[in-house]
Amino acid sequence: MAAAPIRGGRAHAEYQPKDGKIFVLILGSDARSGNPRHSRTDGVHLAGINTKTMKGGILNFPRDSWVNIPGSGSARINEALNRGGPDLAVRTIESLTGIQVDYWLLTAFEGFQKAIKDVGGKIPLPLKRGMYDSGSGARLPRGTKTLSAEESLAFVRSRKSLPGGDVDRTANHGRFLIALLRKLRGDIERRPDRMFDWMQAARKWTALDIPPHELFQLGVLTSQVKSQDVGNVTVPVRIGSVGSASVVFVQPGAQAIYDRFKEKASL
Amino acid sequence: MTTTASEKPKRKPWWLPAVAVLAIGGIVAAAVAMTANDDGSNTSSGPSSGSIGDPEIRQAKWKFTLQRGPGKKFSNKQRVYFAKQRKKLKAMTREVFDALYLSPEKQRAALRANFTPKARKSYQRAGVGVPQKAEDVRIRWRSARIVIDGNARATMDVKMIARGKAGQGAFATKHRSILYAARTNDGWKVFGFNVDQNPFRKNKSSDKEEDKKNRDKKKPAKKDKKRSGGRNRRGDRS
Repeated sequence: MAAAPIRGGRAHAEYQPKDGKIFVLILGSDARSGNPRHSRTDGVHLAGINTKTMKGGILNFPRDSWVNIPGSGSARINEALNRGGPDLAVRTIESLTGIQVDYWLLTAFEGFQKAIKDVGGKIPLPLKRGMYDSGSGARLPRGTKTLSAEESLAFVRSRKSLPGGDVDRTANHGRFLIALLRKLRGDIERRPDRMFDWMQAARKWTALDIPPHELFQLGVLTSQVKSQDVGNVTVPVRIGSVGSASVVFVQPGAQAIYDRFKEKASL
Repeated sequence: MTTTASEKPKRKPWWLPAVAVLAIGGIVAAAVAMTANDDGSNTSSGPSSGSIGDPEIRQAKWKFTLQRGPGKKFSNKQRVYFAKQRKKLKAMTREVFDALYLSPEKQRAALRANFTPKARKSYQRAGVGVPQKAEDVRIRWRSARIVIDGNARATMDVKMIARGKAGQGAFATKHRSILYAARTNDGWKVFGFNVDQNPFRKNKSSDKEEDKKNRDKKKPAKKDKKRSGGRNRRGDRS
């Protein structure tokens, strides 16, 4: 047995899929009421973890991305959920990127806010610039350090005040997910059993296809990825139109990002 | 009056006591050799100075906190089952950490019984516990906070402070392990962990005095109260 101190700690989580990578599709529905499984998505994000390097990545898809929806023709990516539920959304992303998705998670406005409340709010997301958005109701001055549940919802909904509109909003979703990871790690460090509160919030306020024992393992694994080791990348797009509909077209350079993400599960 | 040889009083040989001492010494040496481990340390249950698991050394008592995770109220059946899981996890914690700190010869078996294979290898590689050939290990603090969720998942937050001797010097370590366990067909198994272990230095009395001096320096000097125009304690103008 060694006598040397274990500086910085050591971590291990045994959740090794056959190739050491896990991909979870995270969908944010715009449903204010009704069934969120058949509504449009404002947020489409593919999160990956490489269980060998313990690094991760979040790949963001702007909601107006014009893509092929299997069995349904071409449409905006946010239509996939509306037309075929989470399964069709998964198949759309798999067809677009070539990445096999292991799990999906879907949340809507109300569920999002309540989940954040249940894990204690106070999401650590420092704002270098103020955010004032009439559409979302965001009133976040510059220097804000943490977001409450209501502020979190306003933050992720804001787009009118952002120069890049919906594309910038999508990138903000990725930032928010990384902030959630930071909060999870902080909570676990103080009280490891807080993992169960997080799991309960996820099971209660989101729809997901992860069984409880796998959710626990996935939660433990996720809590051991440092937030600075998670890349946040938005798929490159250009503004265009299809008929009278304003859409964005995915740029050819996105293929290299998909390939890299598929190989490394990190960005 | 003469006596015959058979009637003469018998004298004990002069070399008998020396032989007796040597024989006893040999028996004791043989007994010690039989109880010693391959590495030369002695962990017999009998009193022997300097052994790692010396029962003569008083160890801190375990402080356990056992709770259940968030969720619905338990039915009676679930409550009974929960009580069983609490016992098992308590026993698991004792087994693993007593092996790591007090009985290194049991460490491998304890980890094998309670960890998944990959987690066990990873935990052993982390080098937790006391230094090699530690002696006079004294555990000053050991506590575990165990939370069980749905009778199927558990977190164990274990903290230890231990002192002892190793080689030519003394050591003191502060240890924290967060263990994540799930109930399987083979019982509870730890599949994930976070571990932090550092040298522990108790605040010596001289350090305390120095800290006090520094605190006093930082306090601002009390300003003199204004006497004129102000009110005294009763509220009357002075």
